[in-house]
Amino acid sequence: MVYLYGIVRARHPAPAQPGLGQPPGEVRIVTSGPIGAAVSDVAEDLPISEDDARSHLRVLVELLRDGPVLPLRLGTVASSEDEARREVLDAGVGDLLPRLEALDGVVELQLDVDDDEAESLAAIAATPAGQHAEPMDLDATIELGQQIAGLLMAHRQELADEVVGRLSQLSVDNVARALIRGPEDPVLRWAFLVRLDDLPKFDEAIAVLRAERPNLAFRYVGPLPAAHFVDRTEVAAHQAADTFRGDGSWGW
Amino acid sequence: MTVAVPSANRAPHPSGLADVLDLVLDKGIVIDAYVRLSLVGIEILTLDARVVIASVDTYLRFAEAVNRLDIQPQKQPEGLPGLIGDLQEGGAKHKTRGALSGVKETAKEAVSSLRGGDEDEDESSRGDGGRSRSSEHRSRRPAPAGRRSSRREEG
Repeated sequence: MVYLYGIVRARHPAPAQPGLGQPPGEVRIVTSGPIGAAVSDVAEDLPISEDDARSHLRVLVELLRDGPVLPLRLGTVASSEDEARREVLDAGVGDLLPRLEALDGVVELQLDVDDDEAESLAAIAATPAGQHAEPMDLDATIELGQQIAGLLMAHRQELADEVVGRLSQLSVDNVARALIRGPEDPVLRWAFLVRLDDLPKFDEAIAVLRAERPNLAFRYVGPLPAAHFVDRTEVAAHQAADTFRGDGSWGW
Repeated sequence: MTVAVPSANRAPHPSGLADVLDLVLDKGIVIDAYVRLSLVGIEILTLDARVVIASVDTYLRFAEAVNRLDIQPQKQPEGLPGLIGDLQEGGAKHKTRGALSGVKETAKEAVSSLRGGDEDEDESSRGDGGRSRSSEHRSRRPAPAGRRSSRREEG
């Protein structure tokens, strides 16, 4: 059986990163016309573990160094290389090629932002809105807690607006990765689609945010395959066409 | 092989399993002919299905935190802490049952008010081909102004 990682251009070089399964197979590119699939041999009845999920992602990230990648869902297998070519590439080229080209020259960057709850509560308690009488009973205490929860969420919303507002100017697209539902939730879980050309500027903007907001925790991850943006149909980065030479590294 | 250049404190991969799965399982493209096959072997791994809005504990913790912060100095006259503690506890016990049954309602109201601000349900405007298996989770927008509109439970 062959395991499929992602769709790439037919001329995309094979990654050095080994595939998933035991023993890990070598990843190669199976091609048909303009597109190819990164595959490796796996045993029948491959059980998929957490390690395999991580291996799958590592292969995609490695592939991304040499051009656009459409990630396939974890666990996609075909009975043979021929079947992969026929059923996935030949059958899907009309759909897959434009989606792949739409990701040319762009990568996904993820940003998680968390605040220190105690610090945020202290900031809220210091504002006029945070002033209150000492609650006399349980009902009043809960009511106060709810009021504080609302203020805390508004406080985080403000932080999130500022961060995303600034970074969205440097991104082609952006999307929330997780719903923010309540006062136990973080400030931000976000994905940005960024042109490779703008990666240094984006890095710089993150560095500035980190310096300005030392009490926030930033987790900054990437470049990743643009998994949150695979439904883009328009070519996002046609401006980047001159920087992407098709056969070289994207060079970050 | 190219070597990863560490830059700007960027991590090359997400560290948490939930983030890894979000990328490769939840957001990966499903090849139509392979839906049956692509489910092979995946028993692991349910994404974090936490449904936390806020609990009474959360509210009590917040209230306690802000009280500690700004009312602490005038809290209790010295010398009687034990007695006052007992009295408050006793009083609280009486209230507890009624208060806690009321709490659910209050919490629900709070929740619906939190989730009621769905000012821009713009997911329908995305106009994609419906390929994303999780488009119902998505809230794509250019700026986070609509972040609040995400505050609703799935489904």
